[in-house]
Amino acid sequence: MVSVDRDRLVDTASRLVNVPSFTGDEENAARLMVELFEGLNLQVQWQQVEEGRANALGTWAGAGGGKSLMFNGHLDTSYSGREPWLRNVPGFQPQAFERDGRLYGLGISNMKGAVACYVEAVRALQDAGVRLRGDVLIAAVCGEIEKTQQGKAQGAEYRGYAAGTRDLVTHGGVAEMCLLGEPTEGKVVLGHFGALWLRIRVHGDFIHTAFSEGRRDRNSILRAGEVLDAVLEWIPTWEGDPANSYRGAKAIVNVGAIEGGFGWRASRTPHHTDLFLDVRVPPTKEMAVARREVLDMVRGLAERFPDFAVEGEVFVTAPGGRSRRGTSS
Amino acid sequence: MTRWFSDASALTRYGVPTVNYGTSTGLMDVELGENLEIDALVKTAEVYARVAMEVCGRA
Repeated sequence: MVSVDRDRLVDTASRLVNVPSFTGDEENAARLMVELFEGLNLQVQWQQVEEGRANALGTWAGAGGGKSLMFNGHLDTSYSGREPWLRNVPGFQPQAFERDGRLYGLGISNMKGAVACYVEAVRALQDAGVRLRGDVLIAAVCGEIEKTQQGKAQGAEYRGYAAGTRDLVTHGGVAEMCLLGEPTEGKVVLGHFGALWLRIRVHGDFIHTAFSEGRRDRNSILRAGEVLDAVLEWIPTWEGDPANSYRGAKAIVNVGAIEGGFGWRASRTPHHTDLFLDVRVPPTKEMAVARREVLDMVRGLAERFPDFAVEGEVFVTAPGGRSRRGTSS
Repeated sequence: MTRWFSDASALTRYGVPTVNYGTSTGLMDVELGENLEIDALVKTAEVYARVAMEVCGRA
């Protein structure tokens, strides 16, 4: 009989929450994983992804003759807890606490709780004297959170989007099946959308306010407004395209950012203004196809607004995940 | 809901069949932040142990 020890599980999860591991700074949490792996007598592989960041891979070797299973979980948290709007929210601090049957703390749901479950599952099996034929791998990885380096946002804290797992799979971290404990609300999810991020640049003239009279049509910010209206016309065609739906869900497009001008120098109009789109792509569509399709859309904008010198740049192509077998989610 | 992203992206492209299964209980608490129901966490760990036995086989 395999039985999970509630208190031990809560203790493991709390210890993980209590080690801050914002994207770019996951090494201390990986060290804690090594300690936990050693407590289970697992074989430990340390993968230094870059300075301050590591994957910890623990392997419980099987007796042989069975398939291998990997439990994979990311250590990085979506927030640091230092964000001004989260600073006073206790559940967004790296300090776990229990209240009314619930465990609170930064990263508990995404996804340190699951990582603790992996450790406790192996412990429970070992406690019950279970011996498996195949290997069980626990991969605790850095850099999963959806973010990327862009513009002035450079550095490890912006290197997410499977940065750790890409390193993992090229360094021995593979298995015949993987279970990922992302917060799915208890549902089995066999596939999910990927993401393509697109920057659309609209050019204009750099003009001092004193000389801007009658030249509003040269202002890249105002031009971007027109382009944005055109993008909003395009979005339903992407979302409504049956080729972009997956398991009955539409491929959503979000206008995620706009950047242009100098707040500290509002006396000048900027040379260019950028619109940023997050275009969700079904796992059934190759990223190269999605890239071509969105850049065709940008070409259409360039033709529609010939004076704006509209250009597009695709800077994230993170494909969706899809298991080869299985028919339901 | 399958619109979010996960490391299944990199794993499945590398030929590792990947399933996402985890616990959570809807939206985060506005005042208290990230949290999980502990009973659900325990059940999840039990499911993971059973999956390991199923996939790896008992010796």
